[in-house]
Amino acid sequence: MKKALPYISVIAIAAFVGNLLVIGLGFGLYWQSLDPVVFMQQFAVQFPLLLPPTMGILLPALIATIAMVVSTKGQVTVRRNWIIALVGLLIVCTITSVYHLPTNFGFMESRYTAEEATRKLDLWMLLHWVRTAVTLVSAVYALKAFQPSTNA
Amino acid sequence: MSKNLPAIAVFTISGSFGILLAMGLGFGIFWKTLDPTRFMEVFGAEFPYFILPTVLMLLPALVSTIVLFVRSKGRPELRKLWSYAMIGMIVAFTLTNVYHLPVNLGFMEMKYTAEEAASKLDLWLILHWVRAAAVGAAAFFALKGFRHSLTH
Repeated sequence: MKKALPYISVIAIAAFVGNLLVIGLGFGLYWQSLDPVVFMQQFAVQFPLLLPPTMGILLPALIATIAMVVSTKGQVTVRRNWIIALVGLLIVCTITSVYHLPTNFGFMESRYTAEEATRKLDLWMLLHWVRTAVTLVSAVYALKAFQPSTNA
Repeated sequence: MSKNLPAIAVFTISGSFGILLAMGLGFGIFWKTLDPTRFMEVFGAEFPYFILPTVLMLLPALVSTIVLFVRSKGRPELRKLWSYAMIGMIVAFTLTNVYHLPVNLGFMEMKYTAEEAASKLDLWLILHWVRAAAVGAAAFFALKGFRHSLTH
């Protein structure tokens, strides 16, 4: 199992980038093209479908990366790269928990006026691209750490 | 060998895997819960949003593994790893072109009866998990190829 962890970490983090691209490039651009009230109705239908793959990919990425940080104690350079990968994932979780999740509930309950919804969706998308970029950086550092971790 | 192209192969294959998981775990399971005629309406509305991220990931994944396979001539162990990754991507690409794409168009044009749509969606999902498994295996072999490129 220990040998599988660096593979799980790299593949799951990069797979998470793919999942975020589906949300941003696929659905996000479509949501922005809609009338804000129609968008909130569509969001309530479509967003719950994006949750199982998001959690199904993010959790293994997070758990495997935490395990790699723990198991590389004493290997300074490798561990630094795993820590950077983990910090990236934690930033993504923080952005999601602080902004996206509460705003998602607001959209799903059609709680906002059209102007508020437009403004909140614009910021939602901006922060979505920030979390996508941060996840990509995490993937790069996980890959940097991968080779020495599999040699150990 | 430069590590950039193997890294691109790892990221884009794993990213494609993430997109396929988003499609299967999120939407595929939902589509199965719908009445077949309603499913075709929903599919026609939702499926186009997967096309841009899929093409952006799948094409570089396929091209990079083919290039890495060709470039590894004379290095049998490395070539074997890239050939496995390439075969996984070719299997996914072939399944998509031979089965999924024509059936997708049929769903979007609501060309099928309710019974035909139900049986075609069942096969669509089975073959979807086959292509997801092929891409997951390709990601694993690409990571092994990446590691081998650096260490030998």
